[in-house]
Amino acid sequence: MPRASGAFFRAVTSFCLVVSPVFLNSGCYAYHITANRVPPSTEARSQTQVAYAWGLAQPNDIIPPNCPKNVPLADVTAHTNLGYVLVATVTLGIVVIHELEWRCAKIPSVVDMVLAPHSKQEG
Amino acid sequence: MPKPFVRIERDQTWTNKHQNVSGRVARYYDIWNLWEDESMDPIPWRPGMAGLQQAIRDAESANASVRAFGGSWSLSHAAYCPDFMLNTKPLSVMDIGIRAVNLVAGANGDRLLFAQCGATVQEVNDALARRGLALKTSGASDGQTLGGAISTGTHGAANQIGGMQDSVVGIHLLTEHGTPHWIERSTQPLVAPQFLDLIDTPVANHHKDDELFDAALVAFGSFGVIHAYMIETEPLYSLQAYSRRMDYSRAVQALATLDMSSLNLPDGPALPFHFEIAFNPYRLGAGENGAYVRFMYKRPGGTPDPAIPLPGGHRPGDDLLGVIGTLSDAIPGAIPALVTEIMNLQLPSFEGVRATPGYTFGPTTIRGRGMSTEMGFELRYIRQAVEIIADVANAFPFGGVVAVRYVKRSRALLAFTQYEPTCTIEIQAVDSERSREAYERIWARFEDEGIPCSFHWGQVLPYKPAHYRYIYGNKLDRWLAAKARLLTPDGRRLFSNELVRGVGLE
Repeated sequence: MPRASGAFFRAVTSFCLVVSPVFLNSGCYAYHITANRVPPSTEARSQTQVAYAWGLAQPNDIIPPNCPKNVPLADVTAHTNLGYVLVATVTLGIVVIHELEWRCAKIPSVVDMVLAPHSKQEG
Repeated sequence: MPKPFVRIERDQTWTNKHQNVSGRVARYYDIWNLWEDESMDPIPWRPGMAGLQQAIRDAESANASVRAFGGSWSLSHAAYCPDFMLNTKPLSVMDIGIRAVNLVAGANGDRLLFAQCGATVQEVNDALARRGLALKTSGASDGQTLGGAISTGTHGAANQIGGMQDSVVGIHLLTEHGTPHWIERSTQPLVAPQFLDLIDTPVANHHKDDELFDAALVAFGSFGVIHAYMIETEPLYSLQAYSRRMDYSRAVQALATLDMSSLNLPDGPALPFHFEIAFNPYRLGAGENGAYVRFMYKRPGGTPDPAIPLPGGHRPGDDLLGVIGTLSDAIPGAIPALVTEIMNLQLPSFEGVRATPGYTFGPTTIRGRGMSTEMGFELRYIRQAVEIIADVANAFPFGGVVAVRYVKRSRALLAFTQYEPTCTIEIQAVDSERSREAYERIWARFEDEGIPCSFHWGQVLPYKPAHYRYIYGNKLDRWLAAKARLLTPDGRRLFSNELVRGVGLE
């Protein structure tokens, strides 16, 4: 019995040693929307958003503070993680948390305005 | 002149694309081609240039160093400094085809591209393709900005072309106090005074100087902030690509001599336009199919854009590489099987797939923590170098794959493509302590066995000033002298960072 117990503990320890780094590194679920061949112009910025009461109260829309006026988004990523899933489970969906991340696109294409043969450059 | 529109954030964390370089930044700038009231200018690059100049002056006032970055693609510390970091990605104005009035008599502007530093390779490819033009070469993917890709010496496997920097014919550089300079070769004079007016650069700062040009071309931000480039392009072409798997023993003759006769290629024994071989370092034995030979022929004209992928399906998660890195540290015995599986998934065989360079070298789909080192060798050392890497990997398994490419020698003084041809070995790996240790062991073996190699400035590299002095010799002194002609000692500190100091180039 003691021998079996030792083997069991060794197996559990080995399992934890192998699996725990996975959870320490991971546990983040990501969902991406990426515009077709629209490169980002900024680094990613994010906000954590909480919806309540099965979505009856939801957070205000995010207007990305780092994008200038009229500049659209290049991509959006929704993240959640094991902790947020646990909160949603324990509260039976009354509190649901997501992290939303975005990157601004560029100012709409500025090509051939000055130097090119058909541009407006004088001379 | 109105004030430029810049967004400043203080005490931010910055992380590179591959998540192996990260740190705090005292002041982070997003710089846009807009004036303070968010209006544009008839000369569309003026606000962005003014924003870069303001940020440089702000850094000088704060006695800080400053670094511009773009796609955050570098795996070295090339793009990072803890003081002032300038995001140049919004700066991507391009003019394709330059009017004669902007050029010296006799210069042909039809295939010239003037582009700001923040234009990504993808944007450039798309804009050029619409005009029936293409870049002569690029890296293996297209998310880098021109500023970062060119100033670190990014290259593909176009063995007759060189790296991206070898198509550049003019550099617009901002130095101390934001002073603009236009640098071109005296042996290839290009622009007229009217052009200098449009880029707000005094005639006195028009340098027609081969030595300065060849030095500033690959300087990873240490000569100042690059604002724009003039680049030679060529008529749009497509690449007919093949990927074949075979035993190492069958690929080794081509690897070591560039003699293609043993490969039975579709266009005969001539060296294809693009030629590379990836190796699974754990499967170099007979019958193990450990070599992945990828080659491309250049064909005239473009091809239709491929269809957008349909929604649905699954892909490796963003954290998967990080998890593999951690697991590989914990259970190294599993690494060879893991690497084999990943290579089988990532490097499928195909025949004659044709696409423009913009789609052949498209966006990378890999996200997450990775690292990579890349070295340049003379052809005569390449077989020994590959086998040393396999030796180290088998004695000390790490989660990495090896790819060899061949690149024409660059004129840039500190381009790592120093040899004719330069055989590059890139070792992409999961980001882990074990991978770092493997890199150290591989570099030490090269040194012990007297195999000289240069290092890609945008990838993980050792901080050993003596090594770079040995590899570049007189060229390194000429590079330092050119920098000293352009910048005061204060200026050299202003545009320095950990990488520049670490390799002995401040």
